[in-house]
Amino acid sequence: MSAPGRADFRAAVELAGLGDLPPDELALLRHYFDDWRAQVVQLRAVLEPADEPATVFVAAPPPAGATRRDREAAPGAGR
Amino acid sequence: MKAAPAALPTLADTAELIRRREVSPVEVTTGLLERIERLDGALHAYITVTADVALRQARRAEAALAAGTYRGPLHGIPIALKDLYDTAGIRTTADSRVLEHNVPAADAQCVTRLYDAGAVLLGKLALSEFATGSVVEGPFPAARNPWNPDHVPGASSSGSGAAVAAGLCLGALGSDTGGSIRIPAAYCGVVGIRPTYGRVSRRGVVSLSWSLDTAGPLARTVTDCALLLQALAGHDPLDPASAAAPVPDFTAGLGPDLSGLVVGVDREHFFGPFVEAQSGAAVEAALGVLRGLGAEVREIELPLLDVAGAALNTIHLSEAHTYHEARIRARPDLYGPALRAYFRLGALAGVADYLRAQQVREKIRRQMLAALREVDVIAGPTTGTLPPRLDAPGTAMVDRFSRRSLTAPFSLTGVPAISVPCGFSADGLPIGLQLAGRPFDEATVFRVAFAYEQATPWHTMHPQE
Repeated sequence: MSAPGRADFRAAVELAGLGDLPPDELALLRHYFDDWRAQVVQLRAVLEPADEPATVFVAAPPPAGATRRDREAAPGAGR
Repeated sequence: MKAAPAALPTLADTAELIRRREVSPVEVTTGLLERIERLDGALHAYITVTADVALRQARRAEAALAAGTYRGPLHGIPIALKDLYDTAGIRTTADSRVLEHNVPAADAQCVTRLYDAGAVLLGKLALSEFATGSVVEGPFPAARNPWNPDHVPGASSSGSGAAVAAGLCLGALGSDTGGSIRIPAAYCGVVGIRPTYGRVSRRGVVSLSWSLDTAGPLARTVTDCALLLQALAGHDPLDPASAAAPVPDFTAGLGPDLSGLVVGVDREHFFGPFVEAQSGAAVEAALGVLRGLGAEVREIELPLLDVAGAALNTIHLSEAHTYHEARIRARPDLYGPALRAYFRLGALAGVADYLRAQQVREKIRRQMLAALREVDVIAGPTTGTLPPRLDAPGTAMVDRFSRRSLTAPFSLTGVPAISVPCGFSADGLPIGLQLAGRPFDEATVFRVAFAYEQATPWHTMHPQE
């Protein structure tokens, strides 16, 4: 979907499959949405075509805690 | 406030007494469990008190000492954990109905490291639901500020700040995504450091926004924080964000002299009408103290910080939504209303929004690193506000976007940042000085914070009981 579509609250809600939320929940979501979209405009204003995405941050959450046996088996584990 | 009573020793002081066998781990643990029993009914810093575990670990530490084994400065030291660190056999709730009865099978890597260093677990500490900013909708009572229980202790590591300030543990772990270690440290008048992203393993820590989440300690003093980080830091090959960076001795360079150090100040971003006058004045006075200790205070400009909050919010809500999407679709009733709406907001963000935010993040990071080639640390207030009242409008999540965050720039760029007490408001509420440094140079951050701390009286003051 194009950016203008995402910028429209009703379109974005439908696209996300949230169109059937109760009115009070939609109203709160709208409150957040309006505030956040204003910030997105700020982001666009500072970008230039040559800007690259950050590459130093991982793209997945950490795993759950491993068992002691797992840790001891991992190469290089520990301090 | 009042001067430190003997009942509130520091972690380092207690460690020395234990090492010399002038006090036993069991005595220290018993004393703190009694304080928790007496004081925490009004503060709600703890979600779960693990008295049996603590006493068992303390007896083991005592037996080891008797047998001639001393593991170092955390040997027999009672600490507590924000309740999003997995603890084997002990409930880990994230103050959420989703995890209200969650009992992990294994410890988080941080917990293993603390246990290996000899620490004793007093219990699991309060936080805001799933560590999200200021939301107070979880199943457990909201923690209160020990300096004034009508005020918030800061989020999201609310119980960590409150427990350390009230002397209900000798140190605590928090976690910091956008400021959740530094803000409660500032509001509670204690020290808290967000280490460099990748410095401390997050394996077994409930995630909020994985490219921002950072585990770290809060404690009464800079030295105490350094001792805790010493035990926590190091590579974990099972955490994809963990860095294989050397870990220096964080206490080796602590001293009173800051000659040759350059402290950068960006007045445009960190001072101005959005900073309450009392906070600004306290931090200005702190800059004067740093000059007196030999540091050069130099003006710098970081214009891109104006959009740091926007970039952080976009990344944060996108990653948090992704992490919670399946559960929130299946059982939305298990999330508080404000948190539910916030996590759903991430579903409305497009891939292009997320990538633009990451592009801006990289621009800000480069600007930050360029500045940190010219100065050793960047200083400013930790927060623009004093601790709000619990019932004040604006403490709910719904208002978070409209605020300028003074902690977000350092979260976004992954550099280490500490909050150290730098004064009190006229009403006796604490104020925090924030110092940020180069990636993996926590040692310099500690050095500046320690010199400031030792030159000022703030760390000797404690809340009235």
